[in-house]
Amino acid sequence: MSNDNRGLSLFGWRSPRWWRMTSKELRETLRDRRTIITLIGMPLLIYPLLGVTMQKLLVSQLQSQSKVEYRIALERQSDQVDFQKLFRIGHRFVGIRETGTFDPGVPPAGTLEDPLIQLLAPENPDVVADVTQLVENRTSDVGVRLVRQAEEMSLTCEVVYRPDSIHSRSVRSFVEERFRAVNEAHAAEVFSRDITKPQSPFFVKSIPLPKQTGPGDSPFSLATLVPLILILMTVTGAVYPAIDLTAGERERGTLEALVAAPVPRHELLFAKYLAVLCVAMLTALANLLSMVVTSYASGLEGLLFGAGGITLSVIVSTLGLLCVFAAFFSAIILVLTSFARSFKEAQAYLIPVMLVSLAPGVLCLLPGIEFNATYAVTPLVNIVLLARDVFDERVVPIWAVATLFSTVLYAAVALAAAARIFGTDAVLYGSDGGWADLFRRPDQPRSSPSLGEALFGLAVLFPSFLILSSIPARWESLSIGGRLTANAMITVLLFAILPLTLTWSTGVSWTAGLSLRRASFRNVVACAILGLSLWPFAYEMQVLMLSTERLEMLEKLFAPFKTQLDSVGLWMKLLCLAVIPGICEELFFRGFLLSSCRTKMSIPLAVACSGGLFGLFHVIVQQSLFSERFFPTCFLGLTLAAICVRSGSIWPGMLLHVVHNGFLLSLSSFTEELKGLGIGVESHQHLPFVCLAVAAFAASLGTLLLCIGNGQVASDHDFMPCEKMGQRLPPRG
Amino acid sequence: MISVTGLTRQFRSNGKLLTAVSNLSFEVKAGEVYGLLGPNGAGKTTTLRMILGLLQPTCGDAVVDGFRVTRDSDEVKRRIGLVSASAGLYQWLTPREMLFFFADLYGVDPQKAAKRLSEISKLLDLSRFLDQRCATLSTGQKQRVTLARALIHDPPVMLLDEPTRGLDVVGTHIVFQYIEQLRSLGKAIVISTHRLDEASHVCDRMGLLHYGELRHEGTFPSLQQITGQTTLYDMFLQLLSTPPPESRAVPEVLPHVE
Repeated sequence: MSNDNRGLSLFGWRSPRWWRMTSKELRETLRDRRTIITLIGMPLLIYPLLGVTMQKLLVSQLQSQSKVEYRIALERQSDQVDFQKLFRIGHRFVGIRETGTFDPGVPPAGTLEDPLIQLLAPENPDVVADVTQLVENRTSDVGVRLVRQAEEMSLTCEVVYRPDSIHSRSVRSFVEERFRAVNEAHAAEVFSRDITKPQSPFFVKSIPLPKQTGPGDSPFSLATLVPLILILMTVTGAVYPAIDLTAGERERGTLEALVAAPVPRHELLFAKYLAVLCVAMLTALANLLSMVVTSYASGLEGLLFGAGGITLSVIVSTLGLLCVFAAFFSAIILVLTSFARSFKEAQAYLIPVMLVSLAPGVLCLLPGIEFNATYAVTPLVNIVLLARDVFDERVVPIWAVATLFSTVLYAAVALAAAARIFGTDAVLYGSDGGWADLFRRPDQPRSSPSLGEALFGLAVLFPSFLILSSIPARWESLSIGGRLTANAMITVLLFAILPLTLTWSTGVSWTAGLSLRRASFRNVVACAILGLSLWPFAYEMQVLMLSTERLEMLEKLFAPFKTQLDSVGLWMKLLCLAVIPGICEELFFRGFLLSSCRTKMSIPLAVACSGGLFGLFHVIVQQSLFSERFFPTCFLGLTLAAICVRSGSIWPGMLLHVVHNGFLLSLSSFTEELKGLGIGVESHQHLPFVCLAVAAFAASLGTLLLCIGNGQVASDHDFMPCEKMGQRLPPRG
Repeated sequence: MISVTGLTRQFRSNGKLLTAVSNLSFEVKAGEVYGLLGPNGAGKTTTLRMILGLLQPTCGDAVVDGFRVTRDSDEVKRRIGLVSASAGLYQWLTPREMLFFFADLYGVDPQKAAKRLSEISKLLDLSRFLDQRCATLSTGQKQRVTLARALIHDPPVMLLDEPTRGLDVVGTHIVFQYIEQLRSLGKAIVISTHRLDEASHVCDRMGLLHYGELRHEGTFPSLQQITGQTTLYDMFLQLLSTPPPESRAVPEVLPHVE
């Protein structure tokens, strides 16, 4: 193969360009020895050192006690005799095996090798103690149950212990070793004397207790430390390539040649992002493997990886979480380093961020920290807590989803911001640009918000929604009317004021950017008909998707709320649950979000994104996930988005949304009457055929009205990129 | 091939509006070498960056091979090869890897890129160090790789920003040879420099820039006639003695010239 052809194969010409660019970035980064040192050298060095240090610490803690004492609980008072007999024989054999001599007259020294033994047995011969409870509440280190099978003349010795306690595990090993020594000695005697009918040996069985939670738990969980260490190491791995591929390129003078090529800047940045992400993930993998091997070798896996120890699922879950975190942090780092004009400047930006990121991580180490809405949307804290819960096998789905969604969202926003500043003349040549450019209101009016701005809006909306929507429910003294009002105000704030503010601050025309154009009378009529006729389809979806058990559970869950809601007047319900959400959600999802999606996506994809996100937001109800709400609300979201595209305005969709919600709410006032007619999701019955046929006819009529004529399909220029639009719209006066 | 019309660039610095390039207009034909001459800070590099689309002009436009930089920035970039004195190389890649990477960025077909590399390798004598890591190359070798990078996509227009800065006699000679070869290939070349000796040596026409304005333009004999000076050195001294313009007829925000 010629040299030239070697060059061809080096960059894989057949792969997509973004991958070819990424592989070049990776090639450059991975050839650098400094990257390799961070990637492989650090994990190989750090974890064995940490393992040794931790073991020493635990040993010194034990030695610092006046005497090493092993507390062994027994079930019955009568067990004491059998236990002591077996234990003494075993202890003698172990002593002879280890030292060659054994003097039973010497009292125990109270050291690790020769601990003091304290037997805990009931004083009353009729009482049977619960050794499991004694071990759980830390009254004893292990519990021993002597289970006798009279027919088989055999004895089983069950040793109950706490796997998350290194001391309990030591006592278990100590006891089991002595019992096994008795069996070995017995076997040796049988073989040496050629006894044809030997006496049955006794069996030894270990019973680990599940990891405890709640008040009995230790104040400091080492399982929280593991994800924090891994996260910090992952960050360390991403920092150097991120600086090198952005500020480093600027400093070396290669960035100018790169942006002089006819490749969009966001594509160049994306390749760099993927390279940084790959290196971060390689670092995470190297660290995780090193940590697993070290903790296994040093016997600390129970302490570090929770009750179940190291399992494949724990490793895979941890790696998945690290991947999500790496995606987020790589994007954050790239934003900062894209601003920097030199390596030094980038380091100056990153050091405070890394120090600040330590604080939430350390917060998670505090005892009694439990997931809530705020933690679920707080970067870094959410990943550390989720990793801790994965180790403890107590993941709450809502918080897991919120963590993953918010982290991915933040990463996308950070990446969009980085793409906006990477390679600009402000960075390249140090002209008059800076951080303020990110927030400066453009001089020229634009017709639609960009996708990056929409992502920013979502990144603000989602955590705010999750946190704020849970607050009224916690104000127990507040009446149901007050709660509805508070919820309505939150809806106005998040779904109306937020998009309006973002639209204004980004210099986007409200009429074009939020699709607030005038709608034709025909479209308005069509949407009113659809608003009255779509509910049966949403109803049928619910009936098809909900099992009887789930329905019962939901009914129980919402019964108190329903009773309270019945005390509120219909007008109040309509205003807070139909009119305000209908208007505000249309402003955000079909106005702001759909417009921005259409700047970069085809119409079907933009409609799907807007509808999908609308469905996802409705899945979250009072800090719980109700997946069955996704399909009906997504269906409604898709319909509303399609109507907005068709009519070029959000007004008809707004009407449909309000009518749809209002009609369903009004129906809920006649629950008993409808039940009599066999209508009601709770009764799990399908709607009568006539009802469905009428609804289908009305929906077809509404759709036909929307489709006939030219409609008001938004013209292409409404969704042209801002630079081009800037030349079309008159400058702001 | 290159037509620059009313090109202006203003920067905001400490709240003040500074004009780096003011109402600059000139043309360069295919096979012609045009020299942008001027002292440091005259606006030479800013002009080249605007022609390439790396800097947005405050007003004015540049047309390269029929494409306007303010409208078809990518098409303009595709037609230009940039050689900059401040340009660096990827330290951990070999020149071959780097040149293929840039060929790919410019959309050059792999087979064509391989052929092109072989031609450029002969032209600039790269073959000896084509598979050596860039960090290990000498200054002259690095400069040759930089020149090769600008040529890998065979652009009709070349912008050379102080191409001989920091080079020794041999390195400078290589660059001169390179320019001669580009001229013979019919490329339109703009070279920015304050080295008067090299300008008089290679340029067909020259534009004298001072405080962002094009003060004089023409061939060497015509410049002699206009300025009344016999050497470029004297012309330069005369240029430096002129005061900066008091005010500029450029509003704060100007729309692009249509």
